[in-house]
Amino acid sequence: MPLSRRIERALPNALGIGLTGFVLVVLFGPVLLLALFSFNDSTVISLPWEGFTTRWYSEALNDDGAMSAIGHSLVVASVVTVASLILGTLASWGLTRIPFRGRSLVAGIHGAVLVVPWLIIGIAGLIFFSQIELALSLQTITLMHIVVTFPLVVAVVSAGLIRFDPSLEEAAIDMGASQLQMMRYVVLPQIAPSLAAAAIFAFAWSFNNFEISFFTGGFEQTFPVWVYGVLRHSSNLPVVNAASTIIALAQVLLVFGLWYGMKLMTKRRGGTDRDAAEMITGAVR
Amino acid sequence: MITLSSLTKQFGDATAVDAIDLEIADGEFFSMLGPSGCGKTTTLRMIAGFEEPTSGRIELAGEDVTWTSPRRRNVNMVFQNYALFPHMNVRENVEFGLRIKKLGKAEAKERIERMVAAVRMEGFEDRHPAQLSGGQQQRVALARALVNQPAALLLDEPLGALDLKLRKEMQLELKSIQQQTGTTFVYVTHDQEEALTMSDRVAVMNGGKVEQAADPRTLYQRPDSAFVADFIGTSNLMTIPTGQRAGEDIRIALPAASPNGEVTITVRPEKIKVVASEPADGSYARGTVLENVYLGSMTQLIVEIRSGERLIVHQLNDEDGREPLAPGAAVILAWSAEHSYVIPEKGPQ
Ligand SMILES: Nc1ncnc2c1ncn2[C@@H]1O[C@H](COP(=O)(O)OP(=O)(O)O)[C@@H](O)[C@H]1O
Ligand SMILES: [Mg+2]
Repeated sequence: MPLSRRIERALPNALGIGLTGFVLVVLFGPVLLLALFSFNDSTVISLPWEGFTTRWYSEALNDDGAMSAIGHSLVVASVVTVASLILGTLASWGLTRIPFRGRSLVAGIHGAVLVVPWLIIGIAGLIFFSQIELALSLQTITLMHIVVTFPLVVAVVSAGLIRFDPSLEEAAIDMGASQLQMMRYVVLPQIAPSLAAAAIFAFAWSFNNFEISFFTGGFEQTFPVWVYGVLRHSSNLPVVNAASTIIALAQVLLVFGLWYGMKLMTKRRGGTDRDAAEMITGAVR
Repeated sequence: MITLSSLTKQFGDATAVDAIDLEIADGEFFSMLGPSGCGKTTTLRMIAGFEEPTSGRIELAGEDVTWTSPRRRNVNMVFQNYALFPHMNVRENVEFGLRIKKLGKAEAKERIERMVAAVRMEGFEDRHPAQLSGGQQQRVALARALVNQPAALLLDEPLGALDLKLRKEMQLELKSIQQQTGTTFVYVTHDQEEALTMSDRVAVMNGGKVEQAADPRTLYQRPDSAFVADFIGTSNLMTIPTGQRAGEDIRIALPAASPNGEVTITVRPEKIKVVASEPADGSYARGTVLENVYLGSMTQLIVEIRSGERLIVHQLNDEDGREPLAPGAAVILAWSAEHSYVIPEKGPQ
């Protein structure tokens, strides 16, 4: 092959790799840099490199404030995930399978909630709770988080249900299955990727949310609110940095674990990597 | 036995199925044939229970099931896209109905093995649908339905997604499975050849109505309507004004006891002969060849007769060295009186 032709062929590839690399650096560079500095033996996050230490990590792990905030966030995010998953799946079923008047209106309202800024939802929640004179607490945070994650779950699970071939449901009924058996044996195993994606998103949204938790929370803080609070003293910076690195790493591992699990699952069903990607991106679309 | 009585289905203002009456006998291979949109699928889905009729009755084995839930009807459906459960392997798919019915392990196992063997899918039990070809998926779908030992199997264009060669193979296979199991098959198709080769009886449907339900031979030889004559095989439809049409270039002889007045007749292309001179009796028409099409075992001629109508003629290619008639050639076509089949007048609708 002549050289010019070879260059012509290799060029798109090289460009693609270059561009991807650039995007990755811009996106994750700062995060990785922070993670790196969490091992720097200095209270300021900047060069020069003062030496490797795990001091900030042991401090973070021994910091009662950090640990209880993380604990609160885990509890809130778990409750929010389970509640919004159950409610959202039921709502998705209604929206995609049961014809009723004003169905598109209801679906539209769900979509609308997704684009309202969290700040506004947080303030609205604050006003609402003070109107009904409900004391702010982790419960009020949980309630307001569900307001946001519920439509998210509805969007993701509905997408899965719309892609789901309804003749599979009929086939199950045709062979004598009740509605419940059809759900259990046919529908749920099929929309499992959508449910998993919805669960991950709901959990991450709730766990990472600052605005809503800030306005509708009481004395007990969630992790982002705690971070905001302690960051006012710059001496806390390395500890926050270490704690955030742990949290970020845990979330990344969670998502990758899920991705890998789904790949295994589609492989077992005779699908390809592409099917797995299709299932996951399809669940999000 | 499946009995449909004045079965009607309306979607809004549109009537998809219009007062159908049908009786399907046990063990019969019964087809519903008609152009797209004529109401075949809707009829089948009403028998399965997935559509509720607007009016009329459905009986299975003498029992009124018009309002029975599909899960309690002793019929099973084979869907056009197979509708196999993608997350289950072949064995689990076939097992599904028996698992729901909580059939004993030993009997279930035996039935599944027998069914998988009947559709020649041994050795594929652990594969998932995504790892099977279209024809194999089709066979699994068949096994999954038949393992429930339904009183009737409902099939909605089950071969529609297969290529021609595979379709031919599967036609034979379906027919043999049907005969083996003795199950009643209600088979929906828009392919007349498929319906004729496989079925004991065929209901020809048009616009939500059954035009004629009969065995293939009767449909071909004695169609009840111009639509049936036209839809089944190739036919030459002609409207004959009064009694006979006689002139210098044409003479139409009708069978004895034909009605007076205007009639519509159909003449099958293989009954028309190209002759050298006007025959003494029977029908003939002078015309000009417009086109000849070589079809292997026969040649199809399109001849324009003097009255302006075009007739299709099939000539068997059974003589070596016969020159095909070139376009423009003047010919005389002849056929006997009994081959002018008079289509019965439709009663008041
Ligand atoms: N769910 C439905 N809603 C509205 N119209 C329908 C529905 N199903 C079928 N139809 C209409 O009913 C007629 C018959 O459809 P169908 O039974 O699918 O015909 P076929 O199977 O013979 O092609 C068509 O005109 C079709 O558009
Ligand atoms: Mg159809």
